[in-house]
Amino acid sequence: MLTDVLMAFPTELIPDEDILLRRIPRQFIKGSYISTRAFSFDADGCSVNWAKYSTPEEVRQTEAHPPEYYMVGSLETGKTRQCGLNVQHAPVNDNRSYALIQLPQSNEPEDILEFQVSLTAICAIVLN
Amino acid sequence: MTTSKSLTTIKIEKIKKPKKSELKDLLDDFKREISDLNEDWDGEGAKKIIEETFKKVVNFLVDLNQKCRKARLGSIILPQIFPGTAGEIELQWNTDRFKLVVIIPENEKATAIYYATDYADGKIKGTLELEKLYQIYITCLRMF
Repeated sequence: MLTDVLMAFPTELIPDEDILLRRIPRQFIKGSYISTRAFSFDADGCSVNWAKYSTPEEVRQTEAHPPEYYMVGSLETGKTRQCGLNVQHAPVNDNRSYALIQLPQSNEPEDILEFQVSLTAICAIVLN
Repeated sequence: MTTSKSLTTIKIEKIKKPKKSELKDLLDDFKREISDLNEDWDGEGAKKIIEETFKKVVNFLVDLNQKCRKARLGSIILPQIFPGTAGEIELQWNTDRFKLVVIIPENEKATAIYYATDYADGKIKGTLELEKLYQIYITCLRMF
């Protein structure tokens, strides 16, 4: 595909058994409970990193805050898909691991909240 | 008989008082937490939580607590409270029987969003005016 030629990295299919990593600000975790706000969706989806090309330590590196400001959660790709969500590899030039969790086409706010609750239920904290 | 009755009353009062202060402590702690959050606190453009949104949460929980007591359901189960990146506040009840999540929006006119599950097939979800939201909590207590 033309888009693959222009990009530094090809788009791959993420296998069900692979792990997705999500950077989570500490404010979204209290005890063993994760806020549904930890999985916010914009027009493209919810940003994650494919663990094949990224480590939890790399995921929590940002320019905005020191690494300790964040925890990192992991999601099994297959379980994420079983929630009714699409998982799409979307590499960018400086980040081969970049991927998106995408909602089905049309959703009411309460449907999105249900998906977010499902994601908190399958999320395990791997770096705190 | 009279002695036994007053002992019961004393017992109930002793249980209720700490619960009330626990709710106040929870809200005080959360107020401190959000006062430390500036614009872009998540590093991805999160909004600061404004006083009005926090007040909506305080009023809702205090009112819910009163309504539950009047309905003889006892004091409310204390929720987890989280800030949201769009200025909203999330209330999350996690019990053995159900999980209830309520999103209180920043926008004064927007309705609250809720989702509840009994961890099996039972679930309710929707949007509702803040004034009617207590019904969802009571429904969870009675249904799940």
